[in-house]
Amino acid sequence: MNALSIAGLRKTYGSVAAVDGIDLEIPKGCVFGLLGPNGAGKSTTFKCVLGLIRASAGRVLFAGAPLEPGAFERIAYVPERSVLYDWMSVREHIAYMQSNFSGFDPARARELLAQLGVGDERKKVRALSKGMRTATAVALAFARRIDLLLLDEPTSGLDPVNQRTVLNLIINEAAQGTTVVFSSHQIGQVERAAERIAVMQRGRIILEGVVDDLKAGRKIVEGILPSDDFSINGLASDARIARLERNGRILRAYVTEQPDAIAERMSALGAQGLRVVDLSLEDIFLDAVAPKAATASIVEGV
Amino acid sequence: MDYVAALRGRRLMIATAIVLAVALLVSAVIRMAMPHSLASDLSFDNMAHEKGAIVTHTILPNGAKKTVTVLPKKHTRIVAIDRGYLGGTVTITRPARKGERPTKPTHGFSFAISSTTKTKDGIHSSSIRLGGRTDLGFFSVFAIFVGLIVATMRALSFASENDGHLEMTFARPVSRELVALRIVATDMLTIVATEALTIVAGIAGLAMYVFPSLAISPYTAAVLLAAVLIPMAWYGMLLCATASMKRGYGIVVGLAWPIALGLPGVASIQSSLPFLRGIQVLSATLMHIDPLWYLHAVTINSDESMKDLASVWSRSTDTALLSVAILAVVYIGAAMLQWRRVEA
Amino acid sequence: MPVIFTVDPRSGIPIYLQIIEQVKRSVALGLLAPGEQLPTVKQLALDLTVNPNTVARAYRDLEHDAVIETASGRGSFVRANGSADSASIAAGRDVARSEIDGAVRAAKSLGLERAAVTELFETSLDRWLPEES
Repeated sequence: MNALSIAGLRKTYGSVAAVDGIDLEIPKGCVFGLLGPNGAGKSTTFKCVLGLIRASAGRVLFAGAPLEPGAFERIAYVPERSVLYDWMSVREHIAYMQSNFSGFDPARARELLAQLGVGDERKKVRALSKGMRTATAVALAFARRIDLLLLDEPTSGLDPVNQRTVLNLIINEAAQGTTVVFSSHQIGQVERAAERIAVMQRGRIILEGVVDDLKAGRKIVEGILPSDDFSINGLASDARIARLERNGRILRAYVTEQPDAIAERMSALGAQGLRVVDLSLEDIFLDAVAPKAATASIVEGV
Repeated sequence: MDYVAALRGRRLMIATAIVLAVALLVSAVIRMAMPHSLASDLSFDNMAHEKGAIVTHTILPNGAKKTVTVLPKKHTRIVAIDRGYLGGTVTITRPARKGERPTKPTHGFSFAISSTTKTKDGIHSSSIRLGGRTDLGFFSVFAIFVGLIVATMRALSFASENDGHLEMTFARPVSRELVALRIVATDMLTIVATEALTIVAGIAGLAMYVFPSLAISPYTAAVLLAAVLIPMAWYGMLLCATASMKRGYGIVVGLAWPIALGLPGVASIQSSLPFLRGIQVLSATLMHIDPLWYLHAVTINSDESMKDLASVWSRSTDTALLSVAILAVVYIGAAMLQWRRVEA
Repeated sequence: MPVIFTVDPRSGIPIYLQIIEQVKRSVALGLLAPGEQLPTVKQLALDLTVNPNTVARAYRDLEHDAVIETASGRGSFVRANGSADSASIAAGRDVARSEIDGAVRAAKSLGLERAAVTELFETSLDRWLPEES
């Protein structure tokens, strides 16, 4: 039974689908990274999952059961923009949390606030910078005993030190078995903390998988062909190759799995100087959402 | 109790308390600048200085000061009994003028609690009683207006949550209905508490002038009930109007008062023009769902005597209060139903 | 804990593989003595700022490769069985194997024949591991 199970989630505003059919299974204790360009539908997905927006279609299960208000006792959500009350102080927000959640630990909240540099808790939220507001919201969320943590851009506006602190908080939660789903533009962070990721674009998931597996499988296999018009028969039809580019004698295959096998094949077909180029998660992400305009010709029927 | 609504409510109460305290302070300052005797505040005092006036002062066995002013030329006799802080009475007797009907005597600045006039056997006599018993309901009438202001300010509870806080408000282990109910309950508590403060301040203000002896009558019950129900219905109406709004809700509230107050006026337009007639009919109908209109059932002229007050409690007040109660429940219910469906 | 591991998340090499390699290297070099305790999964995850399951996976594979052993509740320790050197030798072999394998592949892709590659190996061996006469 997965911590979070999303099937066929859809949300349309008029004729525009902000979320266009999302299926996700997130196991318990997993740290799941949600990547995607702005406007991809990540925030809308979070809100639909939590019932804060009425989904047009789809089914969401939390540990096998549909969402009901009591479940929020063990679910924490930090939205993208600040939802704190401008006119209230940080201390009043602590009291607010205490009155609403039984699993909230004010001492831990204060500890985290201090760690993140939110100084005087008597300060009103409107006097805090954007980064400090995010830090406050994060501190309040992590001060609760929870099973599921949903974070929408938890490090936006934070300085690098605080970003690392939040990342460590996520890792600490994960080590205790909490399921964490977080979206971020900081792919380096996702690379570290996330076990699995999904890439969203225009309301759909265009890539999904375990980070280690994606990195192990998605590589560029490069080979040098003997001559400009040397033909490589049938390579393009290999299902493991997402894209094949040729620039004169240089042949590059963007593969999705088994790069070594592809390299063998290319070698057997006559290519030399075989190189397998590693791709960082950022490379993989960028290639998924915005494939490089081919400087080479896209190979067809080669 | 909802924490945020309670916090906002507490601030409002403190602000109200400060305003009331300042008003009391001003009142105290003015009171201290006034001469002690109440009877001397009255404009009848001027009559004592008229030509030919015969003024007699006596001290009664109970310590009260009795002043008799006779104006022989006008056949007028003024008897003023001043018991200082405990109040007093002023009785004016004079021949009735031809075709005169009993009218209320004018008086000055002092606190007239009740007055009567009658004409009998050609003699017109009017009597003003100072420092008599004050019906508690009298203070409640003033409290209703404070309650309406507080209700107006609290009525944006849902709308202000919609304005960027729903991710926090609704991501709680409590159903939306319960969240709404808690907010409404907290706001109602704020309204009632500020009204209670106002009544207390009112009594304190009275106590600066006369001994505050309070009376409770059926009128009291009516006004106290109205003090809870009318602001509640007003709160409910504005809450319902703004429950689904995320922006621009201030305008709705700002327009509500002029419209609500203006409706009775518009409803009394006499015109044969179909367009105006239509507006008139519409206004007359809308009046019945306007909580402010029901104030007429409980607001009375402060000059009326205790006897008049009792007659206020009648069938019409019963139905008025029942209608307001229904309005309150319907408005709040509609507001809560709307808020259930709001999206973050 | 004297040994400090580092990982490069941006590298195309999965983090768990990097951890495995570094542990093996440390064992081979004696930086991690037989029987010595490794950091807990949680501690290493926090130290490296990486996902705990990544560390757990690395530890599982290291146990499978007989480099470490995990006693539930007590932690993970460098294997110390029989010959004191067996764990370190096994680890060293693993690391060296992947290096040599990569070198041969690279040589092949540059067009070298078997004889040429063997000759290069002989040269390197003579240089670094001369046979004692």
